[in-house]
Amino acid sequence: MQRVALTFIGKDRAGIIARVSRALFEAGCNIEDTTMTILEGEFAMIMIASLPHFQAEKKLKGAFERLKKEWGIHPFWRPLPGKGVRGEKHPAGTQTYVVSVVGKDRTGIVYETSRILAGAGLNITDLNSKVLGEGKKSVFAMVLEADIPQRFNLKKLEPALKKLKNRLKVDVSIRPLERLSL
Amino acid sequence: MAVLSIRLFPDPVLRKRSKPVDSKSQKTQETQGFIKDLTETLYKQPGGIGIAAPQVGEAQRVIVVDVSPRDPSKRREVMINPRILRQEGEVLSREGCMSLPDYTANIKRFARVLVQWLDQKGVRQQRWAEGIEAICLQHEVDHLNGVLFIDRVASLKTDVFPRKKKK
Repeated sequence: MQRVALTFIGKDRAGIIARVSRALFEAGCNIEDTTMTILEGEFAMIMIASLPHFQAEKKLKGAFERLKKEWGIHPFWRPLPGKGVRGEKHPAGTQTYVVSVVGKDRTGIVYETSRILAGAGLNITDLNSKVLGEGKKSVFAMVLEADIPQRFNLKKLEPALKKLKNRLKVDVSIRPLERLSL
Repeated sequence: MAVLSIRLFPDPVLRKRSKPVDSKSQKTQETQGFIKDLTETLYKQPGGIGIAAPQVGEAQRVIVVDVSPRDPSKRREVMINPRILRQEGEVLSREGCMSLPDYTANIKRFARVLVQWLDQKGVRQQRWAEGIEAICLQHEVDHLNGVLFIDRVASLKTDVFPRKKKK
């Protein structure tokens, strides 16, 4: 059993997922984990699938090549080693935090924010950003989630976040996300 | 006392509508023993704050809710035949379920619910619940009706930025 990570990017239209999943189905592949969204009209999908045998690879790549030629959907293929981890796994002893950053659109907001988290060794697990509105009045908004160890002192981030707020003139909020186990 | 095993989806008991506990069987040793086991099972689940009888394979209208680890002002409630009478407000949170492990989703729930139930002694109780307790109650009462949280996913997006309407 071979596992692959796949991505598909191209102009959105109805029927892309049906074509991708049909190719996978006909090659006997199992879709395991998928995320798909539309970014400013661009279809974007990431996926992990398992292949039953090596012949499936040739068949699949042929189908994806046709999808690229006919609909302009660009595939990317990466074989994965090992068995992989099913489901959503947060390291034990961590709490998920949501960080929101909103401000007048300008370059560097994502970089400056993520640099602070990376510097503290914190892992971002989800990220969403958008430019809202047009022209001079456009606003940049980003929401991300990070796993923060319970023993991590959030106050350590405060000076850097304060600097970020002042320098880039953005609002930054950080709050725990209730993960309820019911 | 015993820790019961958690039934996982697609166990059909999770899709059944549970039967009310009738007044005769409420005080029997069997029911009382089951409630103890259910409670003990809840406390064995890491981070667990609520459990419904179908989650251990019993299609009976019994839930145990204890949100005190998250909200110390609250205490454990054993609820027999719970009914949500009124509901108001709206709140979004990330729920997970012991019967559908490794999956969490954003669920919209009522922020406050008026709940009526019979306590362990068979006495009728009624009060408003809010916050985490209200979310938990709605999740557990859903279990009694064969509804899983995945049936109620509000949105895959975080709902912070609504997608732009096409002009």
